[in-house]
Amino acid sequence: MTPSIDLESLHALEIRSLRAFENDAGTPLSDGQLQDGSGLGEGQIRRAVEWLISKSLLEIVSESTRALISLTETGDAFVRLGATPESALLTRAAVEKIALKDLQADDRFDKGSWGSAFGGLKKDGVIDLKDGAIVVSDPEKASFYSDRIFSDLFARFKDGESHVAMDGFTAEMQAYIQVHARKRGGGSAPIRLDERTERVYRLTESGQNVLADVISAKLTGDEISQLTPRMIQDGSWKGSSFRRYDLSIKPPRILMGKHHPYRTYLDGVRRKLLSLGFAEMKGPLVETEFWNMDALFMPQFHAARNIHDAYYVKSPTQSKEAEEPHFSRVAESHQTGGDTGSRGWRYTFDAERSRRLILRSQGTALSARTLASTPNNPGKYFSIARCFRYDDVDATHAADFFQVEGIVLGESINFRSLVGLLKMFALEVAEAEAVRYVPDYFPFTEPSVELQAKHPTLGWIELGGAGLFRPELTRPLGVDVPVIAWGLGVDRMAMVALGINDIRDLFSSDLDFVRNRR
Amino acid sequence: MPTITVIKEDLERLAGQTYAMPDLEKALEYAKAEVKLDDSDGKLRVQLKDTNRPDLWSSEGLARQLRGHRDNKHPDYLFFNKPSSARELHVDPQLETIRPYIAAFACEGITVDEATLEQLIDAQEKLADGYGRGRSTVAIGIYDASTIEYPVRYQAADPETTRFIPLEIDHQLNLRQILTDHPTGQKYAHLLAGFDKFPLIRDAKNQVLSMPPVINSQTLGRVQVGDSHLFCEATGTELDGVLLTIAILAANMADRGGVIHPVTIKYPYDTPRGRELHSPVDITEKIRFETSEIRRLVGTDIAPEQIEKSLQSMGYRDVSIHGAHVSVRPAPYRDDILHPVDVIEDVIISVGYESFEPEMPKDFTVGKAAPVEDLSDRFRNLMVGCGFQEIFSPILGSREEQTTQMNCPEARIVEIANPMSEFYSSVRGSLLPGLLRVESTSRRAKYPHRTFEVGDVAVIDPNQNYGTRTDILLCALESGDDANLSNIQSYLEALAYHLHIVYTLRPIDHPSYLPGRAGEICVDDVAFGIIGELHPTVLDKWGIAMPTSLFELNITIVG
Repeated sequence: MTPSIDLESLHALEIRSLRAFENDAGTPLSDGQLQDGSGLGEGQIRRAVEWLISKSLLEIVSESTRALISLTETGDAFVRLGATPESALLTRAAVEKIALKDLQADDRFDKGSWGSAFGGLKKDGVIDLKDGAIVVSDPEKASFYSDRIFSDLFARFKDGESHVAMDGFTAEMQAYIQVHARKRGGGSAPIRLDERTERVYRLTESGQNVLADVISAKLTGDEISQLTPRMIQDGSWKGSSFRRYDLSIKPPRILMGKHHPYRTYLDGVRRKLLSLGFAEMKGPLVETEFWNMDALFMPQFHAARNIHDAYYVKSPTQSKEAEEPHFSRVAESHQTGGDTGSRGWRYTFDAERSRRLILRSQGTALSARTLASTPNNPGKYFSIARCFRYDDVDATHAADFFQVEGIVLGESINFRSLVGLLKMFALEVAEAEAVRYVPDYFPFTEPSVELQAKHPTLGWIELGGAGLFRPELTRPLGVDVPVIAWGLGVDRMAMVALGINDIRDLFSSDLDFVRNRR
Repeated sequence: MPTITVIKEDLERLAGQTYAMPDLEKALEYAKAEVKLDDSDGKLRVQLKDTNRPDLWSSEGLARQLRGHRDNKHPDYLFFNKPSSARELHVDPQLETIRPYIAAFACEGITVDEATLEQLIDAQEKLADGYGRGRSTVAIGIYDASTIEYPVRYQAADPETTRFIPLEIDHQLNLRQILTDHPTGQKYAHLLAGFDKFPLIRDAKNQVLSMPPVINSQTLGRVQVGDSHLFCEATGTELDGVLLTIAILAANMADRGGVIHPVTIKYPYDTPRGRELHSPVDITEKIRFETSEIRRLVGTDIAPEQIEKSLQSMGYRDVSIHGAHVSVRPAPYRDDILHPVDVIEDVIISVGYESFEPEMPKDFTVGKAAPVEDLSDRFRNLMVGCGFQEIFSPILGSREEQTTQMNCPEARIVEIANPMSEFYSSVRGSLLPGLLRVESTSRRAKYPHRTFEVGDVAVIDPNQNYGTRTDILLCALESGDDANLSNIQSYLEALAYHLHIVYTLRPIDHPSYLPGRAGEICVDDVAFGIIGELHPTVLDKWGIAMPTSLFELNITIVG
């Protein structure tokens, strides 16, 4: 018959407990017999029995409550002395004329113990006082106190027994024990009386089968669970057998150090752009309106420039000085077009406003800074920039968000290379199946393109935007070649890739969420 | 980005054809518009991405674009710059310093039905609100013209003694009362703040048309279903804005079959376009550029016939392509052509973006990481190797998180002047609040917690032009039974060893940390960071029940 249980899964304690039934698998055994038969301690047996019962290999036949006697520290001391205060008192009183104060000079016991022994015996009518000396008044009772208490009770603990059953004592002794024992936690009594539930167990049918298998597999429960350095050094592992592991049981997962999932996603985008020949741009979180908007040829009256679209810095409110020579050239471009071939926006440029400090609202500010600082020509640049917009925070708007954006400049840049670049992004960075380009509008590019990509399940989604920077933007910054400006909606791409529906989860403060994301 | 409401049947009537939704979506891409059918009322919601094309912010404008793209031609509007002796509008000299500009026209032949009225009002509001910046630079009035007598007069009126019945109520108010007592008056009162006299439009019989830019009169200024003779005016502070608005409205009404009657405006003062304007005025200018510009921008040749056809389909006039030069005039309702690239984009759009073969940029360039980002990565990788979980926090947070909750109520931080909410009212100057936010929300996550973040912070720095500075910091935190200064320092030791940092700790007293258990991390006596055990009062404020220690340093500590 196939065993109803995998032998591999049996713990050493279980095997040793089963082995206790080896002589006759059908005979019930009590807790004590199990301990004797297995050589296990009380706690080990308790655990093994619990496991075996839960596997239906063992069942309880009966359950009874027994009173068990054990010694307290005081009792242990009596055993070591071979006497109790009562027996010592009676022994001395039998051979000499003695008073209580003489006894109290005997340091085998403290004064209190002598006193209570005296008081107890006298009250019980065992002794009396005659001419100031202790005399035995009831010899029968006296022999109980002087001999039998020690030989029948305390001496039984001489060999290190921890518990002795109450029902093994005479009625006289049981009465004594009841009076002199303390329940758990009491004073300095020598003996303790505990109630103990004792069970009797029997192997179930499948338990008997498993035992047969254990015997035929020669399992003893003595298999070694952990190889130790000592075993290797002293060679004691030789001839031992090792407990086999149950490989179907998984241990708990460890807590590991790891990168944040969203940051990991951004790292991938960054690696991809570096491998495509883009150089990385960095810039300040606090920007001026000049770099964030003016340098991008966004007119100061533009709808996206009112107070409700960007965050302004409380203090300081303005940069100390305008950044020349770009400042004057940009202002001229706004007002009249300057030398850019444009008629300009035809309004009076406000220099004070240009110096106002805001939190970067678009990564394009970094591109403007790069163009103004003699970029490589031809050149390709990118940044992964944290940006801030005045928006309600909800499932689709985070307090701050990332823009992956950049520029490509060179004499050979044109509309066809613009869409070529977008196609490459869609296929390489976003791994889209197909792309389309739709006319779009940005204040700083002309022409402007929206990039849409086909997602396997979501259909056409907006992936980003791009265009050719207007000459009114590039020339004042000192660049005379065409420049592609591009941006990708990386938060959205990351949400799709990470299977996240709420943008705030990209920056979750729930440690379990972050630990368990993969 | 304005969103307008369009009745589909009205749009189709104006466009001269019906559209299935997917076809309409595709066709409107040429107008940089995204359309959605709103199931709640069966109307279309159209989002216009181009903020410089107010001519598209109406059914008429969208239909015009659809027709142009389909038929490659636009209607000729012959009512521009035409003098009129029958219809004159006279301007009061005092308006020069109040609200100096006005333009107008009259229209006959449209019978106003429900749909027309709705679209008329919607278009007017979008123009005045978006293009006219909340009626400040341009405001619009449309009137039942059947009883208006010319010349109409644009006057500066006394706010106390001038009275009329404004829209939506049934009794007269003086002009001042309108601003204080009427809901619309209250809304726009700021536009007239500080003026002794208020703009007022009256006809020859002294009937009040309106008090621009605030409200029309209840009598003449209420267009109703059934009206067929309308008077339209726009007032404002920018003449070209006013003129463009009138041009758009006139083209829109002409597209509905209306006959536009010009109005001659007589100014007693100089305007950028003279003292006498024949409204509607065509303010467009010819634009010339070299044909090679198209090739340079597009990256391929487009045949001259194709260029001509495309320009016409986008509403350009007087298109002439002679050898090396292109000369065109934009449609009279457009003022967004600043540079030849604007014209060329229209050509590309008309030809179709997808008609141009994408070409990979061919120039060789070298990829190069920002050194500071590479350095960040070295720190990040070592921290992960130390068994720390990386955290990624928002940069914006509350002021309290950085000040009172850190026992530093006076700390100087970069704050937002116009926060949307107290929760996002300051820029982090330290990464610690972000990590503590994680601790306070993750008390049930298995301990120990070992977390870190590397990221940008902004700090006040009076030596900088911007008064602030952006730094990149690393913060590493341990929270759990055994968290203490020496345990967290053992991780700092590991970083320092592997990054060749030779540091010392200088004991400091800092209110965020337990006394005697905090130090500055110094290299050559310059502090680059801080290490310590958080003070129990700080832990308490964050609701953290475990001992927590940390270090935070500027990654430029690596020399």
